Amino acid sequence: MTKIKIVAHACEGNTYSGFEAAAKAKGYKWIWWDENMVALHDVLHEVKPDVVFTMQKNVRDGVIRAFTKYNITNVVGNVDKPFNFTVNKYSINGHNNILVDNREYEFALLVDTSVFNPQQPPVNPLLQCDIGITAKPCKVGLDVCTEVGKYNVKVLSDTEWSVPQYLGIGSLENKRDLYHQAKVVIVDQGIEEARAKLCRMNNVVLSWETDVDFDKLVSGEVRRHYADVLQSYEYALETLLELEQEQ
Amino acid sequence: MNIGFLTENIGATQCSYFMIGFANKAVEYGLSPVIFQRTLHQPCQQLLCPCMFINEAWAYDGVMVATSIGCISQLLQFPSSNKKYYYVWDIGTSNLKGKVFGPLSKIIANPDVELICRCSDHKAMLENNYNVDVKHVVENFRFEELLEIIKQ
Repeated sequence: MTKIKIVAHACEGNTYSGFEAAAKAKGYKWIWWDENMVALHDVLHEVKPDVVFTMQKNVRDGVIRAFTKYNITNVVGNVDKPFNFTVNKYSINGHNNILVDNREYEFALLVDTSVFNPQQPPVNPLLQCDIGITAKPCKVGLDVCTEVGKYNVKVLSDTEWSVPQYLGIGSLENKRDLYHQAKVVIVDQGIEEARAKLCRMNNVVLSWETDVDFDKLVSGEVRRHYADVLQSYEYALETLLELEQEQ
Repeated sequence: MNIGFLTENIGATQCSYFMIGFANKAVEYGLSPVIFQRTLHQPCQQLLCPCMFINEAWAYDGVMVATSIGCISQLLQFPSSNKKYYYVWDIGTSNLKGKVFGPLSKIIANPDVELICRCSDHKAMLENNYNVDVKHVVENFRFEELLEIIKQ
């Protein structure tokens, strides 16, 4: 069997780290590509990958021509057929869902479940807090940081925050521990939202939200639940396993 | 009693000025302080105690007080079993570019290190960020207060 080579865009927030674990487990070769280090065309020429995970902004006419020339499956953003490696297939879907054999599944599938999952217990007690933030600087986050001492706030973000509560860049394990232990987390919509919800976080606040009553959320008076996300995640995993067995 | 101070340098900074003041007073008091610096520098005031490179502190026999995040991380690698204090002169960690949570938390929340803060604001920030218990607040190397802590 030929080893499938996958090149993934090392984009902010490690969007594709979930796929990395799955691909490596299947024995595929996984290469991270940093757009600041080397151009995509050079990667395609030198590595000759079978699959490329990119972001929408990298897909231009020239790149599409290169994909066709090299017979490369392209996964753009969060879409396409990630585990069905039919070459010479190119498509863009603007939704936040992924397609597996023309069936749409929740965004949660992109989460690295070897790190983020409901069963994984937290290991770092230093990340216990009232409000944990992994979002980029946002108004709702800055508001809770300004009231120093009111809540125990910890900011663990890839983007630098100019607040004393900013702890720095956190590993995936650090983020997992924060999602498990914080009473409320403020996250960006998308991959981090899915990660937080999969850690059985009860209160996830999105960075664009306004008029959030943190007193009630922190005290546990109000709770948000995401059972539907967990269900869809479990259902999607089952389907993927079925697909793998069929192949 | 031997007291070792670990500092970036003894040049013209507020931290060095107050630290040398403490060390000089400790000499008058009959104690034996030594200052270890990471880079050679002219002292900002007259020294009454020895001053050497930080690598000399490797097997130093005495209480150790580090004054910067770089010094405390180096001190933690030294084999001495003496008591190790981190005198948090400034929250330099909050200004580090591209800082990463893991290594910093391992230093600040290390159980072998006892934290001494310069002011209550620094204490509140460290307690919030790293869930540590800061027991001591001593302003500007105040002699009696700091000596009392070190003697414990």
